[in-house]
Amino acid sequence: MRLLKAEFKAYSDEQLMLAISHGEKPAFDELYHRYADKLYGYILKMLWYNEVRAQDLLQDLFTKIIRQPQLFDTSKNFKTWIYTIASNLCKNEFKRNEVRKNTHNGLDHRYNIASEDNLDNTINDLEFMEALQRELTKLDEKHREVFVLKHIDGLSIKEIAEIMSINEGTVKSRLFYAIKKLAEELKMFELV
Amino acid sequence: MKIIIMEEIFKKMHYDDLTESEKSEIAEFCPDQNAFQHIQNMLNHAGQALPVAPPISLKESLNKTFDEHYTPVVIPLQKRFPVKLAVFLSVAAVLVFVYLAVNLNFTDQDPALNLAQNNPKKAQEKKRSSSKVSQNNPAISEQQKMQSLTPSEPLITIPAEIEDVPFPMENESMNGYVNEKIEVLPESSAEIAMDGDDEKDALEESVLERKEQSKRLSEVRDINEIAVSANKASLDVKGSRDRSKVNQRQLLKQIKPLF
Repeated sequence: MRLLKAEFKAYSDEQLMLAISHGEKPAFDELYHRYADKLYGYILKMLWYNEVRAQDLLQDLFTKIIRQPQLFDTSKNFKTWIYTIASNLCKNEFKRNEVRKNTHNGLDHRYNIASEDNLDNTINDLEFMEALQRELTKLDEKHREVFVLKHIDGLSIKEIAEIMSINEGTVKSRLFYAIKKLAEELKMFELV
Repeated sequence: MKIIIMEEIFKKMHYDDLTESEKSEIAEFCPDQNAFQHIQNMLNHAGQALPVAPPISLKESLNKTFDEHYTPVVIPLQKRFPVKLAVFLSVAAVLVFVYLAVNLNFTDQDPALNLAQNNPKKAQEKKRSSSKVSQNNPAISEQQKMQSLTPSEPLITIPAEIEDVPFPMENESMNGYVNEKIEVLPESSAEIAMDGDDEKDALEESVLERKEQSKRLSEVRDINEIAVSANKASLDVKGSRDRSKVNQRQLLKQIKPLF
């Protein structure tokens, strides 16, 4: 008997993966609903806001879930697993080093950020976010990834360490560096 | 030390809540309360990042991939085994079965005859092979000789004269005739004595005729007995199944002409 999508809302990520492996479409819909936006945001930030490439990678990611759900060990944490795949996809993209070539100064042209001259002393959240995005793109990959995973996607230090295959101490030191750098660059903003 | 501090520092409410060591660690970019507050806001706002969502087309594409992967492969109707052919074959099989059942179970004929009628070549081959075997084995040849006395062929040819004569054993009139013969003889002799020589001669002739007829009748009896015994012999060789059918029918066939 097929379950409705609503019934899968109570399922854990791991249970959803099991259901997907049995061909349950609503389970896939629920999993997509939970992670598509987060992963898309993560990949987008990692790839200097290149939407086209981010969409390609996201599609690759979910296609892998559809075709090879057995690759996931249900005794492990799904969130860590899916971010690990996303991280590896981004690393492969870095290696190809094509993203920077297709973007304007490392940024997608659709994400042009207001210059500092246009900024007032009082700035709203939107302007700050745009500035943050710009500064994030200036960070190197390993610091940017740690910052995005910790302060944007809300993962724990332990999870980040697992995803990036590094120890927790390294995660913390990278995080310290990223915050220090961003604080220095964004100190002109008066946030409320 | 720096690592541990970063995890906890910005969770504190106020810059003054920090320890001296913590303050010294972040002094480079966070020297006072204002900077501390600024970083805290920055991190909070970073968590509320601009909402981004992948396009709907991406989800549609994934749906298609999912359906292709998990939907069982349906063989097109054209590629399936042709339905008409299957129906035709099944009907043909049923007809053949019915035909064989009727012919095998209700036929009166000998299997050898059936084979000869349906497939003469095979029958000939079978005959040849059996003859070869019989040549090598005399016991088999005798058996086959007995079998070859097929019921359809009359065992003994009965002369046309005798055929018209009724069978004496079960015929009452004939019995009467036999009795009459015994009774009439003295009367006729008496008549002979009374009417003279001519009449005597005529009587003698009629007696001779009757004697001849009785002779023929006895011959017929003998022939009949031979036919019955021959049939018995042939039936003993055959299977028990055919025996009852063939016995009755062949006896009738052979006895009928006598009547």
